[in-house]
Amino acid sequence: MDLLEFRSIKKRFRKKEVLVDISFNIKQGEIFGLVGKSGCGKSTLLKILIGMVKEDGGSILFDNHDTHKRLNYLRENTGFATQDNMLFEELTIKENSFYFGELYGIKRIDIKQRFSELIKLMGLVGFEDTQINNLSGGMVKRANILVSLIHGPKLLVLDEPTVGLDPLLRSTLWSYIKKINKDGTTVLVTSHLLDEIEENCDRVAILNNGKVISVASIVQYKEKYGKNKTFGQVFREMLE
Amino acid sequence: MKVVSIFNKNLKTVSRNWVYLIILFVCPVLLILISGIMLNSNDFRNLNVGVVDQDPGYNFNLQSIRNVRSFDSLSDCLYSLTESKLSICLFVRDDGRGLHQIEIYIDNTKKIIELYGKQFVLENIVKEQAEILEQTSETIDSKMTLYSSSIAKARYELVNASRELDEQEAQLVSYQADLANMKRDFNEVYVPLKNMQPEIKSLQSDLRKNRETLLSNISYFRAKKQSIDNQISSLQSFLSGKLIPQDYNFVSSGLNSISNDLNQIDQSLSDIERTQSDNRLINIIDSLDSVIIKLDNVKVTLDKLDVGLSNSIQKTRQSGDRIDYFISKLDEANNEMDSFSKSAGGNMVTADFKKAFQTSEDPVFLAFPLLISIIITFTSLVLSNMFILNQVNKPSYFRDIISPTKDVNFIFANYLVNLFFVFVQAAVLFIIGISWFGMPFSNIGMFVIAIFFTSSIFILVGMSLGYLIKSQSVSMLVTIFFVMLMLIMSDLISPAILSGKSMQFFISLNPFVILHKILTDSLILQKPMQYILPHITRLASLLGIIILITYLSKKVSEEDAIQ
Repeated sequence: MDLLEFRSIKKRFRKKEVLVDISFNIKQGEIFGLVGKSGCGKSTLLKILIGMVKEDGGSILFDNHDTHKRLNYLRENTGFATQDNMLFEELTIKENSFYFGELYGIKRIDIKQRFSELIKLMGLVGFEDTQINNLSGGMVKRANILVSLIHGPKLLVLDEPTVGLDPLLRSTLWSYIKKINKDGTTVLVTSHLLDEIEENCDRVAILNNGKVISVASIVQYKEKYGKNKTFGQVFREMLE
Repeated sequence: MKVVSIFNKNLKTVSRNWVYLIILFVCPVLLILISGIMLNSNDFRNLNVGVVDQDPGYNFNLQSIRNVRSFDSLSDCLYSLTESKLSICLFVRDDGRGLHQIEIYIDNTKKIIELYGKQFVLENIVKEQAEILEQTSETIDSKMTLYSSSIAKARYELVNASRELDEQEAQLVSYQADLANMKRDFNEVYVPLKNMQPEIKSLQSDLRKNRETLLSNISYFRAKKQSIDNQISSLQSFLSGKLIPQDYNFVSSGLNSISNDLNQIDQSLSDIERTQSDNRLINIIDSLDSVIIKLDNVKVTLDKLDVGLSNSIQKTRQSGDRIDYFISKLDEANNEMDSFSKSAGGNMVTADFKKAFQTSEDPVFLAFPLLISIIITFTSLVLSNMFILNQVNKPSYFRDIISPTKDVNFIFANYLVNLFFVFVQAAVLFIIGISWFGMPFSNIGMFVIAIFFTSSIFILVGMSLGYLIKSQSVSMLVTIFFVMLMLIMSDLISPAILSGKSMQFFISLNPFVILHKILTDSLILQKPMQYILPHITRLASLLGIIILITYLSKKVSEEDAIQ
């Protein structure tokens, strides 16, 4: 069952066509990877998804609802975390979580319960009352994801979540993402690090020059381009 | 609820920045303190005044000034003025006509100093002129009294003189009448005598001629008699020999008798001559002549006397008229002096500065509303702008705007937290007002209303600028420019009342000016609410407009954030 469906999304910035007839779908419960070279239109597509940029054409269906008509439904059910720290540094993880939870209209008691689950899930027990500016880089990334999940979204959008982390922390973070996914949250993730995409994503869409050139599972890509090839090699081959 | 969450979050983020809080609350107190010290020590007697005194007869009163320097020349004084070592340079000199002339050079680049300077100089001159005027007035009064009494005396004397002249004129007229009688009597004697003068002259001439003839005849007779005597002697001597003694004696005695007769005639002639020599008649005749001459003189004198008397009478009359004229002029002068005294008293201008408002004279207290207005304006604008900039330039802003929370909630919560801090600051200021200046607590209502509306406007302006201009430096510059604009378009640099109509209109819309006005009216002048209401209405209208602008700015800001 599709949670999200992009239908012929088009976007121009002045004369430049940024997105050309983008169409693909994300199934409920999967980890979906969106890859492409810098400037291929990934970030623009994500912004269109959360209603921050208006598309020039096409539509998005979220949980069978047109996001044009029910943007708030999408927002209420989507968590968004970028590579930057989207938290208030003067506040603790708990305060950030309660603040954003209340912005999403969640009752404090529910936030409290959800927070106690997420703090364990993200391995941040003991840091609940630590201000964000006193946390390490990896912790901040996890806290960022934690806050993105505080309202219990159906979809978690992660834009380059592991940028700036060492391989060990990246691996740890992915283990948390997988846990979240196991708990039923669909994950849409963008990354330049194709090895972690290959390792963690169920399906991957490749964007090039504003077009989706392929949407398939890692297995399908390997079947098509060679089982011994890494996804990175496949990606380069496709773009060539 | 969402507003409360955002408000709490904002409060926490701000309150955990100690530097921010210190600046927020310590700065106003420091500003009040520094302003208080400045204003309390502000005294125009501290003006630096240079004096070039080239008028030894005049002494400009500089006792009230503490810093007075003397200069020998104007150029030295002006040099110090241009070097900013002096604020005023006084050049005192005699203008050559005995008037004291003061040239006042003032540092006109500093308007307040210029005003102080002018005030000081004018106060001194006015004070001096008032003293001179008072002295002059007293002198005039005493002189007027003196002149008045002199005029009265002069009038009295003139009236007496006039009366005496009248008497003198009457006397002269009487003399003239006597003289006329005398002349008439004189003429009765003089005219016949004068008519006889030719005959007297002729008689005088005849008498003289007769006398000369007589004397000549007597001389001739004496010469003949001598000759006869000689002939008798010769004849006697001749006859003595020729005649007998008897005959001779006879003849001789006859000759002697002739000689004796001749001698007797001579004697008689001598008597006549002696009589002639007396000249009595001639003298009488001559006297008559001289009498006539003298009478002529007397007549001339009498005529002159008559003319003189007439002239004297005329002149006496003219003098009398002139004195009467003088008396009337003196009366006029007296009347004019009376009216001058009355009018001088009536037209005299007295200026007395009265206080329109019964309020404290403490300069810090009087400046307190202005200080509050400046602090509130500055804090509201800068604080809200910094606050929004701090938000919109952080990635967390992105999370805010993608949340299903309406913009109005963010705007309202952000506004509330700024308002909260401004009100905390205002509370500090109000406490200062109560504790330092004895401001009545009852003013709190109007104080709160005024601060609420004005700070709301400025907070929303600061927020709008923060939303619209995300570059921290540019946004802060624009905000500070806005603060400066508010301060410039007020009474701070020059009195707004002196501006043109259109500028006054814009100034009347300046929330800073309105806040200052409300605070002055309520805190200083203790005016009731109905005086403040029109200002509040204006502020409320401005607030409505700025709310709309802020909402639109937030929308634009989100678009920018996404782009």
